[in-house]
Amino acid sequence: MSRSYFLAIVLAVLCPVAVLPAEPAAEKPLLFESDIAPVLRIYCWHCHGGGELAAGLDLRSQPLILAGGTHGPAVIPGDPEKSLLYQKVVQGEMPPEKSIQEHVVFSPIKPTPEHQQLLRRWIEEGAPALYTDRPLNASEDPPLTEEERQWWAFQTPVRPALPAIDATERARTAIDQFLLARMEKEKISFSGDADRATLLQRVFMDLAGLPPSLEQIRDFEQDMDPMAFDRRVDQLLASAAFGQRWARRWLDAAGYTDVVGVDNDASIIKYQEGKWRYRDYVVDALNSNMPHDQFLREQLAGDELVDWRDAKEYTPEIRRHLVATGFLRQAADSTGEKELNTADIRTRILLDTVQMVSSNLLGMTVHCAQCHTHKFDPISHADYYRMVAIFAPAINPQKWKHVTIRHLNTVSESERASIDAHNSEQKQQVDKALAEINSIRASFRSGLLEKKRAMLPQQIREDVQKAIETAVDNRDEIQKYLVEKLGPLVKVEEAEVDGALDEAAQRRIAELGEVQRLAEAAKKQYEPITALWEFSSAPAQHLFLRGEFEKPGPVVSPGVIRVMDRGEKPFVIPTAGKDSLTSGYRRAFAEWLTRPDHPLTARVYVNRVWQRYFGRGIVPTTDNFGTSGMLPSHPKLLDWLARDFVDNGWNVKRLHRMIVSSTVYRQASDTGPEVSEAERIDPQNVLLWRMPLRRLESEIIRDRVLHASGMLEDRLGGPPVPVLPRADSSVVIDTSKLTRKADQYRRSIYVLARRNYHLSQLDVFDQPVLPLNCTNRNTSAVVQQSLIMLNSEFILDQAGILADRVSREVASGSQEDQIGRAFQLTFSRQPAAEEVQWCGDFLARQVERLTAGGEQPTAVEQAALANLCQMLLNTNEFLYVR
Amino acid sequence: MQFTRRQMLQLSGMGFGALALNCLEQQGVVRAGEPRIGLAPREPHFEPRARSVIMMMQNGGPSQMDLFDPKQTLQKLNGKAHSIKVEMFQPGSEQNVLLGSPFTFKPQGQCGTEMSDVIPHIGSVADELCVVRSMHTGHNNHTEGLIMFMTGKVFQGRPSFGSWISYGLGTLNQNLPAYVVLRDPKGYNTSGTLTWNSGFLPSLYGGTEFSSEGAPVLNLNPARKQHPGVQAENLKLLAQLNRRHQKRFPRESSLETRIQNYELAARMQLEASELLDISRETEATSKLYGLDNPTTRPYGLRCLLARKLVEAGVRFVQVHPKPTQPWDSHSNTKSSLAGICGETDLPTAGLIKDLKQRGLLEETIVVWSGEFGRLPVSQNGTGRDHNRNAFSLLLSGGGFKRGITYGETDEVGYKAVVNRVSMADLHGTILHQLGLNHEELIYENAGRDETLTDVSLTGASVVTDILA
Repeated sequence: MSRSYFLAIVLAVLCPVAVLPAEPAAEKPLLFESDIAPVLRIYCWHCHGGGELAAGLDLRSQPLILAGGTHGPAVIPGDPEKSLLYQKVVQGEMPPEKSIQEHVVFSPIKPTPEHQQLLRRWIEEGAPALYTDRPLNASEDPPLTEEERQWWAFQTPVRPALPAIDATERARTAIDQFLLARMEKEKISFSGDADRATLLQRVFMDLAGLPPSLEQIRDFEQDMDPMAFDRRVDQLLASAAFGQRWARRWLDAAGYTDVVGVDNDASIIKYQEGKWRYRDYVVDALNSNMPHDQFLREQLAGDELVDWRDAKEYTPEIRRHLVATGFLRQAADSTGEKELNTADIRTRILLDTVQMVSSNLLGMTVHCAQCHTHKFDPISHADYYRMVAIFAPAINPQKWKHVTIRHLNTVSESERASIDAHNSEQKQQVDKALAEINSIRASFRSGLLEKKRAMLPQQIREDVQKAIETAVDNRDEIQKYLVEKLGPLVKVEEAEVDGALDEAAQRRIAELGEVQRLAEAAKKQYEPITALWEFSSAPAQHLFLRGEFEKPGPVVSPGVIRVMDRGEKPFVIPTAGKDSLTSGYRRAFAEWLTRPDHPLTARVYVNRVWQRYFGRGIVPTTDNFGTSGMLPSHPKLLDWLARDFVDNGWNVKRLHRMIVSSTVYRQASDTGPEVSEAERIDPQNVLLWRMPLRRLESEIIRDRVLHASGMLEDRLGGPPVPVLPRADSSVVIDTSKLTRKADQYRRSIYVLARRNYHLSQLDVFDQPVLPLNCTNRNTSAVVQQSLIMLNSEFILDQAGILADRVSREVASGSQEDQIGRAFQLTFSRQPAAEEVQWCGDFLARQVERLTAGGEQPTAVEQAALANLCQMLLNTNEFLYVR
Repeated sequence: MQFTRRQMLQLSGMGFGALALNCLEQQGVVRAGEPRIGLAPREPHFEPRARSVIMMMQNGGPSQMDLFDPKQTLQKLNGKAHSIKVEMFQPGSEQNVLLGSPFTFKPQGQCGTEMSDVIPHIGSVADELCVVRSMHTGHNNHTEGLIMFMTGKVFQGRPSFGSWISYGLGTLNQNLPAYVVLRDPKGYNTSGTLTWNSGFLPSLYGGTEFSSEGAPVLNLNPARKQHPGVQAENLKLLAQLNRRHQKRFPRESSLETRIQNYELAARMQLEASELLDISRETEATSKLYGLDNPTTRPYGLRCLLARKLVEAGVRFVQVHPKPTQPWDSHSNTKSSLAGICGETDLPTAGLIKDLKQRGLLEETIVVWSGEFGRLPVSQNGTGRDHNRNAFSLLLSGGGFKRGITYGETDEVGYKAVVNRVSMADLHGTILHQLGLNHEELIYENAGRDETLTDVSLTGASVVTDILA
């Protein structure tokens, strides 16, 4: 194909308007796509092209034109005189003048006689088009082959029998049995168990994202009860910290942010009120151990699961279901800006949402099928748009609420009305009281003013008064002079009025003040919920040829990816009741997704959880279970885990408990200087013969620093902690906007989440940027990480606070005890003898240097201790969990 | 970060073998010699004409018909309604009345390329320039335009071409970032860091901001004053503690990387501080970049720094003149352009002269451009609205023809009509000069083989007519 053809396509994708078509040669037969669409795009598509449809008429394709709108077909092939489209254009009725003014940007601004002639000829020739109404063709929806159906990831997981193993004494759980069976083929086995201190530290970091205290470790070391570890695991799973720690990864996968739009400008934070409720929903769901299938259903279709429309009052359950749908409100939505509230951007929000949902939940590169049938996997172009059709009724480009008004409230409509009425009554009371106060004060003020004015010479009294009353900009030179010189003499300060009030007036004002206070206090509040719900009937969803919304192809029905639809009961499109205000598509989709026999949902989820514990998924390409991804290292283990998870009620805490109780998790992570047989055979540790060493995630590093210094605020929930982008490109907590100073030390999950421009401390440690969502974070080791830990204000501050804490908590004042305490607080362990030695020497040398540098003698020792504390925060031991 | 087999093969095929200090950790242990991502220098696909790029990103949309693209017809029809209704972006141009340039054009240098008298200094290096007058792009909004200029697409999430180049070639100086951004310390362009984002490429390929004032790199120096020797003591203790910890995990390469990163930080502190030290520059250099004049000094400093960075082996330097949109002349074309040209014209020419006299120009590609151009019709009286249909771009050095113009716009400069050059063509051409085939520089992301130019969609091709 020619280059210009490609360019035309690019332009068509990028913008609703494009170049004028070349005049077609007279003898060449006309085609809708090449000859008519470019004209209609300029003059008609603003109102008849994928956005809100005037008269229900869509002119984007020949079949849509023939189908017509509320006034019937727009074109009768062969008969221009009976074709409304032609007639309206010829009569100059279309495009309307107002639309021309607003939208037409290319010349000529009205269809010319040549254009009319072109339309006429096309209709006379029978309105031919490349794409005419037809069923899906074989390239859009190829039949599934048996081979494609046989791909492992599309088979319902079946619980495999536990394999026989030799080292039965090493197997604590079924997980261990599968892993050992594989290892024993290579004649290797698990490493020894980690020591108790390491194990407790590890499980604290994994389940709570915070370290244990040295006391907790000692207590564990001395607890010889066989259930000692399990009890601690249960405590951790029951702690609020569990949800705070594990929610973050789900929020990444959901693409959660607190902002609207694409978030391009560092200095402009487009905060969206109330979006944080979804974040709290995720934390709460994890903490209350909501079954994972319910968790998915609520997020995909909460609005279709509870009857909120008719509810007189919202119950907490209704509210929770509505908040959960915030899951589907995370795509970048710029439609709050008028110029960006266009059909192409609306459509992109729909497609982005589908992409985020599918990459998160299906573990396949489904979005490849947006433009064409998937090249590697049996996901057809039509499959993709069937899935789009499920979400289209709620994210309907033809029926839009822009982002700033697309929200529900924390109360029902009737509650809202009564609250509004109640509040307006309160406001009236306040206003009335205020008015009376003002009038009482005014009478005393005018008395004072009279007295002051009387002191001015009679001749200029009037002039001064007039000068004061004249607006600043309108005063003439004399007036300016008068105001400047004499103004202060006749000015009555509020304090003077206060002093002048008599007793009765004071009493009355106090009474009114109380009325006002009570009325203010009686006001009730409600807040927005960033929810998804349907407010229009389901639109016809077309497959977009080449993925372009301006090229609607055949209509597809809502549906699921065929190859994943394997049960005896296939997915069925629900038929909504006549009076139903919602299609029920998403509810049906959620139910299909969470069916016990679904081949992917549970596998994808347990694989991600596994990956977060062991650094590598059982399927290493956690986003791609398709044929271009990698095969599972332990297929039977994966199936066993998925089956066990589902068969036990999608119990998330149970899954975590099983993993951390296993020998594989409880192994030592260190290898020592010698290369063992296991390491020789499997240097990448794919078989998990040792626990991997893992770098902590960005949030956990920051939380751990705050935990060590004793500043961490671990309270749950609420609006995000504001951030401040600074001119030097760093981003810090905006302490000027905090109502409670301690909020700057809240856990990192509560820091305002943007797509770009994260808090610097989190950004350098790989908090992902989120143009869409992120299902798998990078773990980099770039020099900026060392720089921020060495030199940033935040780390220097926290090191200082930690040093203060150390000296405060060491009553003896002995240096060795201080070193010990610093190690306890950062590493939850005592220093070794050589470490005490090094740190002691370090403190001595640092004191010398600081003294030589002119530091105050009283501050020298504390400054040296702060240096020590900061270096402990910089160590690999602090940044990794072993 | 997980690699599929396909990615592994791609990487090893490209010669990613060396262990870089600045590396991406992979989960689990990595064997020495296994392909991994880093910033070590890599062989290009074929013999390159240039080794580094200075991208002078003129955010705001400089006006082509007032700077590089003289239009006699436009001058003649000044004040007349244009026969074609142009594509407006913001209100203010409804009258559709043509606006002649308030500036005078004269032939410059030996080549005789005509340029406006508002940029006399750029005019003075016309013999070193290739003026492309037929650029066009995809969006009329600054945010999208800038993202498209740097990444090839209007949507965020793709790597900037500086990131692609760092990924393809690594860098020559491991003590400095591969991709450096020099912006006005007062603020960002409209698209902020999205114009130097690594997108789906690993983050180490993203641009690192380097400041011409204060600390060159964020956190390079302690936030509070430190007494001499204190940091060295700190690092000594840290190394002791880290080495002790490492004994338990001797083959965990990320631990070694981190230990070395602290040494790198120290070297970077030294090298970057030296780079910033302009006290040793001669008076002639200072004059060349306008450091002696408060108007030209801020941008001049960044231009000088750009030269010093490529001299030191940095692969890609991106320079921005001022925050938001300094070239955005929606009103008062004359005073608006006189202002920004007064600040940037001399240092821009100074940079090209300096590169040339140091023999660096041949191996350095200098690109000067805005994200789009401006309309031939007047907006708000004497201003001009955005125009994605045509803009002019300057190329210098790096094996491009010198003293030429390429491509043409229509008679009033509204639309590129002859030898049109798209963003993808430009990107492909720059990669070509660096020895990279734009169709073969591939990174697999989410199941798709991604390239900078995405040929199947853009039809990008190398603009061979402008290559020397």
